[in-house]
Amino acid sequence: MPIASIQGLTVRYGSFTALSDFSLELPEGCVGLLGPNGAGKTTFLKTLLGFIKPASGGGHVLGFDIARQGREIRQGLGYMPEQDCHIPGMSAVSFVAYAGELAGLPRNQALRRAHEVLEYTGLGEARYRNVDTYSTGMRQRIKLAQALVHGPKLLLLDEPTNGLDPKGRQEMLTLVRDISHGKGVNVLVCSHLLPDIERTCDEVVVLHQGRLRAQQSVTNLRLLDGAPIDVELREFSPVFIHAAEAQGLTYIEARGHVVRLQGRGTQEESAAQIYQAARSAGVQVRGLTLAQRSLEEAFLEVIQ
Amino acid sequence: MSSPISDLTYRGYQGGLAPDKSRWQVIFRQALRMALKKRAYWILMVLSGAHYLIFIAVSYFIDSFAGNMGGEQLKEQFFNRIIWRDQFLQGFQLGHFLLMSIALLVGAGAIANDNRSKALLVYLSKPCSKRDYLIGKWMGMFVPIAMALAIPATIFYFYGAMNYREFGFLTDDPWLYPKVIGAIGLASAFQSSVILGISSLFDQGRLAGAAYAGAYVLTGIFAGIAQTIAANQKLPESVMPWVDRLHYLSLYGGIEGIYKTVLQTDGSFSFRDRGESFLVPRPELWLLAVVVILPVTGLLWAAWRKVRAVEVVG
Repeated sequence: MPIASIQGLTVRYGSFTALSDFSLELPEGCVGLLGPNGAGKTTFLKTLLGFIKPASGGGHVLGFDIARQGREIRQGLGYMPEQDCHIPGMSAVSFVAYAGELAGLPRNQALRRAHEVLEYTGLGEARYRNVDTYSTGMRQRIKLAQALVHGPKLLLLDEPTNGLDPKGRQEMLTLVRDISHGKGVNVLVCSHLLPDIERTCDEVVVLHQGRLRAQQSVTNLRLLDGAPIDVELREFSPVFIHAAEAQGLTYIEARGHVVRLQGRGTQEESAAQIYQAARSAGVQVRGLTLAQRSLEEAFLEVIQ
Repeated sequence: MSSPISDLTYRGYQGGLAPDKSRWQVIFRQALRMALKKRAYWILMVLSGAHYLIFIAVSYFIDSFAGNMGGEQLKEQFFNRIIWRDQFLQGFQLGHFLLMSIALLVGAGAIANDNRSKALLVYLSKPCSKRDYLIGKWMGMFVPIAMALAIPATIFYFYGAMNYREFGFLTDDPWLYPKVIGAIGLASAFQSSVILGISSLFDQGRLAGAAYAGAYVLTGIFAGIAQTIAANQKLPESVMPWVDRLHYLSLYGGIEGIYKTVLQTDGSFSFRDRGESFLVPRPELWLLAVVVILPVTGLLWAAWRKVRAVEVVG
């Protein structure tokens, strides 16, 4: 069952169209919302939250209508904004407990859960410090803590690694991965940093100029057209390449011991042809994998 | 059997939730806690009750010593000229700058600081509406301001009820206390609405405070100057009511107008007689409505427009 289902969504800021006829079925799990700056990612998140009224179209999030049931949607959502945001003059534990109360938790439960999520997000030692004195990394974590405190079913993370150093970034990505894969919370990660998406998400949605360009699993997005096969040899052999071409395979490129070949038939037929070529060339095949490109290459191709 | 002190692993929440309608109360409670935590608030509240303290001290002196020195007549004279309801008006008039400071303290940063720290993203991403936010913030200003006015006035009222009964404290106006509370409520509501609107227009509490203080002082000065100039022109009798009305075209005048209207008085002087010409009669209801409702409506509308989780550019 999809977590969110959006049909024909158009959002405008004055004469500028931020999202144009955007339709999407958001599956359970961890989904990455990819797109260059200005693609409409944040606008999409804010429309889901009910901050922006769409010019046309609509949809459902967690089974609630985005046009009429904003409050119900936000009850089941946690939002970690891109910008630094906190309530001035409060300690971390007061701030997160307050966020819990705003989400409807009774005061004692909000306080208890504030302690728990601060511990979980790695701010346990600093929970009584004023948030105004926090470093950038700590502020990112507290934004995550306030989004998690009420136990949301869907977490919207807008550029969660913004401004973090490499260590902090790794820790944040580990947290995001754990939340989505270990704690049963559906997560929508919005980022223009491809390694972050690759590290945390199972599926990606690519947005460009307010339009949906692709939606598929990370693995499928990285697959190349025609499904070429990477053949890992014990050592590079030009004889093997000639033998493969004699079998009807097309040589694409070689990188070290890995030769990329394109078959014409099914994957099983191509594999049989590769083994035949290896036998006739007298080389040892150590592995066969469907050739993949980097997510960056795939992303650039999709948006172009 | 051993069990962990607390479960530090994240888990979902399946427990009960407070009703949607009570979300503004969370914001109100937090704002109230923050206001009452400030030492300056309590100091200003005590100082704003200076008139009551002075009055109690003077009346105690006259009550205790004038009689012993054979000055019963002086005592009678003093208490007989006192108009009890005017003590509450004078209490406000003497402490109004301090009350303005209290309003600044609790209200100037209420929304402006949230604008600066983008806290609206936190508030409005929760199941909490713009209405909940504004009501919570408004109540978070109204209650501390009303408390600062009501606590000294209530203490004085009960002191008066115990000590000045023989001088007509209770009989002059049996409805005095409800009227005082009504005036305080309306005056606090007016001040809270104005400062809420002003706070929403700024990204810094200090700027919002400066704007409110500026509006309060400048409108007061303007109304005062206009009234003085007009009063010195020896205008025809029929024009004089309009001259008096100029006094109320200010934030201070609006609050004073509320007090005078609810307490049904034009004011008086307790300790010396400066003549009735120095007293400005209470405003007509229509004038009060214009002076109070126009800025309140305009500024609340501005707050409604300004409070949003996204900055929408056209």
